[in-house]
Amino acid sequence: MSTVPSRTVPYQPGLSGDVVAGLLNDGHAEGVARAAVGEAVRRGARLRFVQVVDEGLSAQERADADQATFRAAVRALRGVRGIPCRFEVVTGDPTPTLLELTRGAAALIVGDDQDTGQQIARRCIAHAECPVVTVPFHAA
Amino acid sequence: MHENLHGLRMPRSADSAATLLGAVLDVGRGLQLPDVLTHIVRSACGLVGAHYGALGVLRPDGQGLMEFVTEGFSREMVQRIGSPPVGRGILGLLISHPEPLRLSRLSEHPSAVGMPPGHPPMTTFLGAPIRVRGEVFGNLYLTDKVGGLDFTDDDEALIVALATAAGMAIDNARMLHNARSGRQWSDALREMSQALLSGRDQRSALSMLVERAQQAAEAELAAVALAGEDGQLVIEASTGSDPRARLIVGTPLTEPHWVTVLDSGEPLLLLSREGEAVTDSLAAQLREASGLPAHGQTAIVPMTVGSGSLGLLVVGWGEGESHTAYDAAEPLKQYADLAAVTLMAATAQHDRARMIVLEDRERIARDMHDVVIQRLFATGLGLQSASRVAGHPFVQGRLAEAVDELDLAIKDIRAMIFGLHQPGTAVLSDELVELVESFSDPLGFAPTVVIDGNLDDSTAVDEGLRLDLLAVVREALSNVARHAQASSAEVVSVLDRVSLTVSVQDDGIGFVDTGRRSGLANLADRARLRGGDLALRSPVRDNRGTTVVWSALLHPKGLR
Repeated sequence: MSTVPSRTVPYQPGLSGDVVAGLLNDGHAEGVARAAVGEAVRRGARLRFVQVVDEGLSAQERADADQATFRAAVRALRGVRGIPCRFEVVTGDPTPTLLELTRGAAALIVGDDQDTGQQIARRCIAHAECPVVTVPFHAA
Repeated sequence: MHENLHGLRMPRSADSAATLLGAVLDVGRGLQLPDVLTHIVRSACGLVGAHYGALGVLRPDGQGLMEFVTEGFSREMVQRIGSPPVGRGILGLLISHPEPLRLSRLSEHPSAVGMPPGHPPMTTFLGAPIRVRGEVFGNLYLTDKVGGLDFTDDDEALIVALATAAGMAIDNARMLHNARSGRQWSDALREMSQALLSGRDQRSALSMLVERAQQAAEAELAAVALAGEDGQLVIEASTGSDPRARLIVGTPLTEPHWVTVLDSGEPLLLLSREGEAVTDSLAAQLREASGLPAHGQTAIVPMTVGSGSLGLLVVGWGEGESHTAYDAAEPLKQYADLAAVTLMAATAQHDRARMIVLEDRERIARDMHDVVIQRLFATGLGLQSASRVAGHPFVQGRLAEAVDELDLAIKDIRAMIFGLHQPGTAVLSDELVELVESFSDPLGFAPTVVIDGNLDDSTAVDEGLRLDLLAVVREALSNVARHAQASSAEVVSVLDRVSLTVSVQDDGIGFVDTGRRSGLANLADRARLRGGDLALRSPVRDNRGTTVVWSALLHPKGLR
């Protein structure tokens, strides 16, 4: 039996929960997005790029943040064909927003923000229903 | 007694042999893979008297199930259970050990992991792998033999035999599907490149491009957006199963994400599911405007040449999810890239024809300036000096008049040279395309134009012929608009070394004799003056349609 995973299109409709990439406009979105793409390919899952933006941003700031993370996500998808994705921009406090969005998900990928004092990754690991993968910033 | 036939243990009774044969024949019915899978599960249940049956299709990496076809489960049951199994527990055991497995009590097996809430209780179990070309394709799972009995040796033998037939049926269905979709894509690629390079106007060539893409991708919507010189993406052609799909032509794609995808050169496959917020503005707006449900699968494919992209091919499928979209991802990219190269080639072809005209004008202007004006000027100077030595005042007066005339002539020529350098001078092929497009409104559809030969070569098509050609097309198309009740029309202009032929064909109700033929008579006169002819043919086919063919010789009086 062939067990060589095909590099592209191992996506299996409806069989796995989504892989969620928790993107923040902190300059590390591309590293997180890339790790999430790898995870989605491995699991044959749909990939949801979720950008969480702070409340109180102006429309322009929100649009800029959206554009920056969208670019990062598209760059991360380079060379990967047939992985279905979805792009979302959600306003709110990152941790509860991500916890809410990852109900029923297969995995959550976030940047490891240990050194920034934000501790989003740590809180997600503690409370998320799904496995959480943290991406060290130096790798991003 | 058991008989050994090609390694298969055959069931004892003639009865079950007949049932097996019936089941095998059943499995072979249907050509589409989903139908084949459903037939297999149903036949298997019937064959051994199982209450529930399922067929799990293995993922390509063999690490779980990607599809789960069931029999015996009601719609409510399926909804209650929720997402299909991924292949753990007993299902997983068959995946890791692809051998027939028979159990009296499913839940007592050490590998059992229990059933999800809402799942009906199951007791007896029979499972067997289905192999396609020696590789495990998936597994047949049967539970709860009727009457609460255990599955027997015979049952197992029957299912193993059925699985062999199932493998062949699946293989056939797959090959057929691959062959069909491969042929559809190669047809689409060929027709699209021919359409773009045949001299068809860009609009109708792009319509062809999206129609073929929609067909080959088995999609509900296909649209192409091209980037203008200012980088702004505008939808140039669109087609879909909903008539509204055509209405999005001309829509600019202003959201910056479109340009990000364009610049990346990488195709994007979007998927949003029912119940999710429509924040996915990229595809959702376009889908809704085209009459598609906001949710579903959408591919955005950049049309890339070298390191740049000319535009985007956007393909949308209906609600829900299907493998079709994923299978189409790779061929769509190839299609889009070939379309980009072909579009470039077609533009280059058009530019070259235009360049020839401009170069021609440049040469004539240069000749007039360098040769003709200089000569006239020299002649003028000669006459002036001659007038000084001419004694007679009458002769002097005539010479001065001649010099003034020459001055005027030189001024005229300068004005003409200036005119030749004007860039805005229209070329005939553009005029023709513009004229035909201007009939979209009165006709109610966009007629197509095919231009064969370089109409812009002014040495072949003189001013008179240019006016005739435009008059013929105008008259013929307005006849179509007034009387034909047509749904499509095509203008074809063919220019060769000796003649120009233009035909206008529609699919309307055929020629209607309105008694007023002066328009056509006028066209016939114009043709005869140029050694040509006007022919009217109706009906064209199926008792419908009219074709007007007008032809003229390029140089009827043998002037050149």
